[in-house]
Amino acid sequence: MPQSETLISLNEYLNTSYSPDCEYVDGRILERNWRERDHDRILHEPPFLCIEILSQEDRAIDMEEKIDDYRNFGVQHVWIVDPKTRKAYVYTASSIHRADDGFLTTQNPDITVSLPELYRSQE
Amino acid sequence: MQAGTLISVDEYLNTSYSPDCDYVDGRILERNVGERDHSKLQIALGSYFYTRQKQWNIVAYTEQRVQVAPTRFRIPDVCVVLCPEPSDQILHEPPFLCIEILSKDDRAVDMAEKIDDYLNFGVKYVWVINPKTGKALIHTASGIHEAKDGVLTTQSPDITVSLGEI
Repeated sequence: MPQSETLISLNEYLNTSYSPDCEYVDGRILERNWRERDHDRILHEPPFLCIEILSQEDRAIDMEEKIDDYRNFGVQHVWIVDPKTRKAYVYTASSIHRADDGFLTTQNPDITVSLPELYRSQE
Repeated sequence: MQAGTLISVDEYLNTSYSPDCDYVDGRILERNVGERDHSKLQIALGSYFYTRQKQWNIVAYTEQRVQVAPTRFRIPDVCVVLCPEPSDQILHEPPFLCIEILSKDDRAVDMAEKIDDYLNFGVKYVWVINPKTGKALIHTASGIHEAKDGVLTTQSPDITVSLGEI
């Protein structure tokens, strides 16, 4: 880890792994105050909902494994969204369905996200 | 073939690709084949259906070109049609069942598009199988189901394939 005052190039920053990751500001590597937040930095209990937005390079097998990880961990809802085709899939512990109506939902609590509305807000 | 180069349907139909490629709206899309797990499961499924053709009144093909739309051709790893067998060399009517065996390089968005192509064309069942984990999904027009215990099924006709058995 370079000294805080040491200036490095952007290229060097982008090609270096920091653990924990650091911010880069005008040549300076800035450590983040993880120590104060270590206790809540990583979730050790299942989130209620995990969302994965597909990128062009996402491999089907890797995505399947990731979804399995979430479900096996106890995540109740996993949404998979393809921003290009605007299609989406909803995984629960017991089922999978395509969100053909454009609504992504959860139960207990009832959360509903309208994909058309979401996309309209981006336009 | 340069990425992004568009060719005509006629040129696609008159060109041999090895391995054969999908054709989607002018683009030639290479398929991820050649891995051992993929190859073994493909031939196992093909053999399984072949030996039961009379029993189920079906015909099975591997890597058969299927014209799912005027400018879209897909090549399922395995597909099954109901008898009588079509006479054309390329399928222009929806197979009853299309099977895709995942390779490690298959991209999720491409696979989703391929499944949509099959279902929109009228294919009743699309099975997507991960040969590494043995997990499989059954896609139909009405939804997606996980193949419990590796057992894949269809209705009318009732076809049952146990991946464990294969």
